[in-house]
Amino acid sequence: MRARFWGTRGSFVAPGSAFQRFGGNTICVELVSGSARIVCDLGTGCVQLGNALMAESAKGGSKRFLVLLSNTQIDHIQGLPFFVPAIVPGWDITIVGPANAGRDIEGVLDSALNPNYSPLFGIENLAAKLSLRTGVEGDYEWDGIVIKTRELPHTSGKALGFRFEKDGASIAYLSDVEYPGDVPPPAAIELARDADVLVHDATGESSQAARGPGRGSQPTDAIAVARQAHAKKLLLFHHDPDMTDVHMDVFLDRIRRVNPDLDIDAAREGDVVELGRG
Amino acid sequence: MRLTFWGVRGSYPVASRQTTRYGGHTSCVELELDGVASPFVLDAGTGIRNLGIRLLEGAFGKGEGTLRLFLSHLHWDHVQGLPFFGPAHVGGNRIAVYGRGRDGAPLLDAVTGITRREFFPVGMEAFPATMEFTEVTPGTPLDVEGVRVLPIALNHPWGSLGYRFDHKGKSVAYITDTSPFDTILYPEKFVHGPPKELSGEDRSALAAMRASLVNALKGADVVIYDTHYNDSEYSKFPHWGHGTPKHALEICAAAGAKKLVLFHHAPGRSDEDQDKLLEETRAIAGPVEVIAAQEGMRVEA
Repeated sequence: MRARFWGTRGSFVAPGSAFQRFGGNTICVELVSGSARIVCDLGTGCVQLGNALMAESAKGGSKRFLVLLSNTQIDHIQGLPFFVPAIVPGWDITIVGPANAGRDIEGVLDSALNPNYSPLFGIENLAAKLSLRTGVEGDYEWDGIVIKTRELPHTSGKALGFRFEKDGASIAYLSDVEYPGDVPPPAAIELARDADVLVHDATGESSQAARGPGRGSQPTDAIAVARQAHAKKLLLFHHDPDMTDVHMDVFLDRIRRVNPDLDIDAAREGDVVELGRG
Repeated sequence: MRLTFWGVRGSYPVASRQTTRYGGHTSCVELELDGVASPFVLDAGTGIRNLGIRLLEGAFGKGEGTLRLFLSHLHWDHVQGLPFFGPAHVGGNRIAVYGRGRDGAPLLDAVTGITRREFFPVGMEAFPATMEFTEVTPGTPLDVEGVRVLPIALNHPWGSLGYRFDHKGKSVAYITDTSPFDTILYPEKFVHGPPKELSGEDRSALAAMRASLVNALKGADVVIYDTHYNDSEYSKFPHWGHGTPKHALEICAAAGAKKLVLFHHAPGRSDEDQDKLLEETRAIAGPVEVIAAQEGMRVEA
């Protein structure tokens, strides 16, 4: 498997020269193994991914893939109306995401594209063949990649966390999680258990006193999960929009000094992580 | 009158190395008026978050600020910064929102819809600041703290509003998002492309809309105008509700406006290409002074 970070920023985009190394696009991570492709979240990072997929398909690449949404907050879906494979005909896209506030995933995405908010006037005008499924806990498979889905606590209700396995390699993806009492729930540990890479939200690390709801996922949450689950490498992402590249360097340096026994890094836009043999 | 551009991009925010100079945040312009305490803010695209950070340094940080927010329409690139606007999360602040609800849904419902639980952890109705909503009608001017505000109907899917602000003999207009008035009149549904031929009825409705716009912009000192596309982009996507610098110039020249600010730049346009588009526009601008909006730029009127 190979993971590629098209967007690493959480909550809000961070355009500008101060954010170029870690990246300013909101979260989108692509996982590829052979012809199997899974995309986690559709933040603004998915726009560039979409353009890359169009170029690849023009050379005969597969037009079928799976999208998993860890939740449907703005930063996880704001790229969808500009994600070309969803807009043009010919693509076969399965989207799985959580229900919220009494709406299934189709209802949630349809309301995000209603005529007030989008010139698309609703999800039916996305020309791709879309299969929308409300995500629930369970163990699944997509073209040979084993997927474990678990519900995790989040300010807006719940988020979905994922673990992917293929040929003995494993990667866990935990975004927008907030652990009551700073204690990670068993489901978070289960997803990250002995994972080669744990991708974990660290948006609570901010360079300024935030004015907004929720405490955000703390780096200490990520470290607790990495330790308890014996994850081999911790990759922080969903960076706070005020954390410039310089802030990120200082933060990373500090967190590494405090945890010298852990392999910790922060995801940068464009990063490619190789997992196992293929 | 002083304008500050906090977001100049159209469609979606762009965090690219190629756009750092003009800026990647979506539509948000601040208008400061002599003798008027409240800042006027035009649209709440992602640029409004940085405006909020600055405003918190003053009265808004203490919960003592009042702000007037004029919304062109509610497409995501014009509203998605609002949930992240710091002053809205400080009790005591007052945010007066002006705009237009559609299809029987009041402005309040449509705006608060962007913070439904699916999209944001806390609903806008629970924000600590007081949020007030005022429905406006195109062609009917309002008096807002002694400033004459004229809402103007624009040609965009599901409709959009421009605004002209007049104060102490100076005037600024904010005209986004709009298509030109010769290709399509948007129906109340999704369109795959422009009609092959305009009906007589649509033609006269468009002519009336254009005439109202030109009339509203008569002699304006500064006109900020949706110039999302260049000519070749527009020829490919004439049905997405935006125009080109040529369309903007034509309206500004007809109205005798003094200065045109190119705005709502296409997300894919690099700084270099934007420079080029600005130069090309200046070459054909005649008496109209032309500049291109850049994040952080200030313009006096």
